[in-house]
Amino acid sequence: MQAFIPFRIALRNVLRNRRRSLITFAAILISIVATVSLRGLANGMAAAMQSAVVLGQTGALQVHRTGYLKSTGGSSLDLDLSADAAFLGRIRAVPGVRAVSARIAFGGMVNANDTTSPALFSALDPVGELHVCPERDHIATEGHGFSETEREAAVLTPELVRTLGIKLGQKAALLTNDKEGSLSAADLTVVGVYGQPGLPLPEKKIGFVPLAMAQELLHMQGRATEIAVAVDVAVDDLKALDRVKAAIATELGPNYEVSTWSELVPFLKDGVASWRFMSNLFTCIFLVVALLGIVNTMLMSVLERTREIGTMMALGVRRRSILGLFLLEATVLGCLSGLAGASLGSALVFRVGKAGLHLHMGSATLHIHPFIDVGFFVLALALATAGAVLAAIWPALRASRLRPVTALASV
Amino acid sequence: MRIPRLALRNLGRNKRRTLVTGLTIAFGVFAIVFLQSFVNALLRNIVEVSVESKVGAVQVFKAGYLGSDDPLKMTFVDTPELTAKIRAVPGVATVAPRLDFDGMLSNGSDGTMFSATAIDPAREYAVCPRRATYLAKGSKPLGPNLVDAILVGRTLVDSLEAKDGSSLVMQAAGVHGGVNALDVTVQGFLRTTHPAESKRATTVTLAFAQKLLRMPGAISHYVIGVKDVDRLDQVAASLRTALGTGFQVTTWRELDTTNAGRAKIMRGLMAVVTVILFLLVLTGVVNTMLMSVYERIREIGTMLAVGVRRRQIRMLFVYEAGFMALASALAGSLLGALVVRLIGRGGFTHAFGPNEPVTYYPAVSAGFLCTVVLLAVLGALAAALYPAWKGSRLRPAEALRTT
Amino acid sequence: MIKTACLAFACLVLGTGTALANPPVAVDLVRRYDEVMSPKTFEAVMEMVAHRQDGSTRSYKFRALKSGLQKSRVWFVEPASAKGQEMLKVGDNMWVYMPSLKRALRIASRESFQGGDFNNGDIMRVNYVADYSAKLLPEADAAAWVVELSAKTSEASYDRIRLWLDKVKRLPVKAEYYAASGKLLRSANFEAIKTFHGLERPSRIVMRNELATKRFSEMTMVDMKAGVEVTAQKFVLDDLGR
Repeated sequence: MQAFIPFRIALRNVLRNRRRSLITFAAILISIVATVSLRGLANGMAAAMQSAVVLGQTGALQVHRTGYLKSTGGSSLDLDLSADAAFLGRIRAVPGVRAVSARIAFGGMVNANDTTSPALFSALDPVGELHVCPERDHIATEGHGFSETEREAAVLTPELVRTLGIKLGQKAALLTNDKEGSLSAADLTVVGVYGQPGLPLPEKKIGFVPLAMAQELLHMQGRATEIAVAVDVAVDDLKALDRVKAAIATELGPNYEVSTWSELVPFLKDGVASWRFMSNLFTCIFLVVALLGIVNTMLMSVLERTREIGTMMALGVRRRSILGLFLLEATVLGCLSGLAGASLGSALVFRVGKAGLHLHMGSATLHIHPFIDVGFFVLALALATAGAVLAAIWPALRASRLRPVTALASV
Repeated sequence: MRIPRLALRNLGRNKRRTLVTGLTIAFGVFAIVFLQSFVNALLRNIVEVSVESKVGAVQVFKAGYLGSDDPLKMTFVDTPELTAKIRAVPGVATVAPRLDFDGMLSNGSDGTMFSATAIDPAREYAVCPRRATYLAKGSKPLGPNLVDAILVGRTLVDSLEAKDGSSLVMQAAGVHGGVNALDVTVQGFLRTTHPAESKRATTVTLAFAQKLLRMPGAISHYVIGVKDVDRLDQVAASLRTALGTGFQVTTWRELDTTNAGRAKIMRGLMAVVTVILFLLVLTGVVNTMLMSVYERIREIGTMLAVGVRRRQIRMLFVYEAGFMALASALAGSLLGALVVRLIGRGGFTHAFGPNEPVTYYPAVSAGFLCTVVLLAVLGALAAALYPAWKGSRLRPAEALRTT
Repeated sequence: MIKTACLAFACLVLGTGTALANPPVAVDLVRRYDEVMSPKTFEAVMEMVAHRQDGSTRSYKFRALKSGLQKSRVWFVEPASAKGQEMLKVGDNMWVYMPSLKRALRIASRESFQGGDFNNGDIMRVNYVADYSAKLLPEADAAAWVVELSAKTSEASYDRIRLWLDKVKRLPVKAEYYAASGKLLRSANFEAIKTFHGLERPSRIVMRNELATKRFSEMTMVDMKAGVEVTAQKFVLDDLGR
């Protein structure tokens, strides 16, 4: 019980002067809430940017026939690979793999309203693709994506829609060369306008079509040009990702090449890293401002209590104890307000994170879900407490250095 | 009135309190200036990469080019009159012609498709200076002397088993007639951000392209450099008026929507951060002022008893806050400007990813500094209102009684 | 009377001698080429084999109908994936009929024909007399007449063509196709002379891509009938697919 006495005194002091403590408490609280919220937002932004590409376009890993990615001549359909249940099953069986989905990339023309435009096509499996790239759920801003039942649907980029002067619900003809090189065509209904953010391709005229339709159109039943893979590990964890990549490569042999998303879209890491840098910069600055505020209020506190301190010293309380008392008060205040601030901030982040923030960038929307990890929560709390103590050192020292006589005399 | 002088004296009297509060404001202002400079650096980098290396600030196409299924039919002729007309528009700094076309590149036995941008080396680099530097290591930009030199993406060249200095044949069809073919020499490699670009991208000289396509004088668009990037929307609007409906004027934001989006997000976030920082600092100011009021209850009581009006008491506090804010905001912003200047001169080189490090140049405009100081002072004044009001509401008798 | 007879006889001898000794007029040779290789009106069954860069081949068999300078139509017979497809060219416009769509789509006529080394123009429109001006190079080759064709309209697929026709039958033997820059784009060999319903001509053309020499294509005439009766209806867009 002896050890707790100073603590209890500190606590009582804090509670005794409500107004003063409240103001200090509020200052720290607001700072911490702001810091935590901002951090949550930054986390959400970085994650959104990354997942927009990794979980929205590429997938964590991709499997191709060896030489496919570098090939420039001839048809992209020459280096195709199997997309049957057996092959997909082999990949899915590799430890670390969560889901697979086959895709076909091919070039051709779209014809509507007597206009023809060249375009790049990406054929996706409406069911499998969502397991690998869940963000494809938002594939269309206008209209909707295609489901299992809509075999003859297409989602076109706004540039393509503009060139053809086409409206939602209208039909467009897709003309391309099949795997044999013969012309092949299909009529499709334009069901949506592409609205995902961050296309990793320089090409702007793209059409997304169902895989089954493409396989029939190209006479490539049961085949694909690319298999996208979702993994169990975090996509940020590049080392773990490399391990899964190696495991798949070993399973499939030298005829196939496996690539991670960072190899496929190398510029993405830059974007995310620069974002994180900015967020760290912001966080540091916020904390410093918060700390300065604490110094401010601590000083005020000491000043206000000059007489009280004088009284204590006159009664025989050692200078060291005065110092200790003030520091302890600061700790209590810092800890409590830090806890409250971090909790409030986290709750705020959690609420917003659940609902999601929707940022409009041109024709696409970025969905941000702010989040805080436990580590930062603890950090914020620790910093609030440590900051309060640090901020209190100078005022506490001043307090302990007061001359009892002068102190008692002052107002 | 005597109040301002009294305010100043009060500030000087309690140096400690003034200092700490002043420091908070100063640091807050410093932080905003510092952060803004970094955001500006990142924004400038985005603009540089997009505007100065590829797209140019503003582009002029013939109406209908961008949606056309046969763009070569929508070319127009580059004339000195047209260039002069464009340059006469206020805000326009430089003009350069470009011609985009597709074709096949072959090494005699194999061929592969390419997508080319033809530039006029004499005029291009004034508009897109980074075209001269944003190349693979060791490659030189296209110059006016070697007309048939080309720059290619690495993957493209590798697939044709060619090297620096190799001779290839470029085939393309113009608007009339069939395909034409000419020899080209690989002068160097383009630095591409994307693997798909590396497979297709080529840069050639305009003279060569016009010869190959047998379309003398034809260009697909002008790229235009503006004097002040922040005013390019106005310049674009002026161009539209000057050129009429036969031409389509676009800005880099329409052509490079990804980077435009990034810039928008960064600006938005900076605004949010600034607001929050402001609020934090101002909370501190309110806090301090309240403390100050309580500390000086006796003083206020005395003043009231002596006959000082309540309004004057309020004014006193407001003046104190204002002066303090002015001094510290100025100090903070000047310090911030100094630090930014020091860093901005050499630039801040950092490699965010595995790619090559990029140099960022933090910078803030004088206008921004003034705005921040003004807002800090106004904010402090607003923050002082409540405490000042509270202070003026004291009853002299009670005030004098407290210790 | 004798004088007239002698004069006539002299003319005959001289005339025949002239025919043997004087080289032909370039335009005549070109006209012969057009008549033989692309008669004004004909119906034919043709086979094309495209040899691609990687060594693989693509084969097509189709029926062609041509009427005059402006109209031509193609029905694809093989491979099975192409069966039912048709192509129609009327003037500058070109359409492809896709049986899967039951309608025709307009396409650019500059494209290569089914990905081979022949232009769409090569197949659907061969009219050298209208598109090129001809010049004879009399001493160029011992066994063949060499004609130099220079493009004179914007319809011409090539800037210059050098055509070898053998001196005996005046049938094409070889051709070289040049771009405006002077670069050799394609070269062709005309082989396997056959007679189709009284018309004697090479039945196979082998076209090489001289800029990507791993590529070449062969066009073989399986059957051909010149001068057939063709109704204008056959070249109407609506008729595609009937």
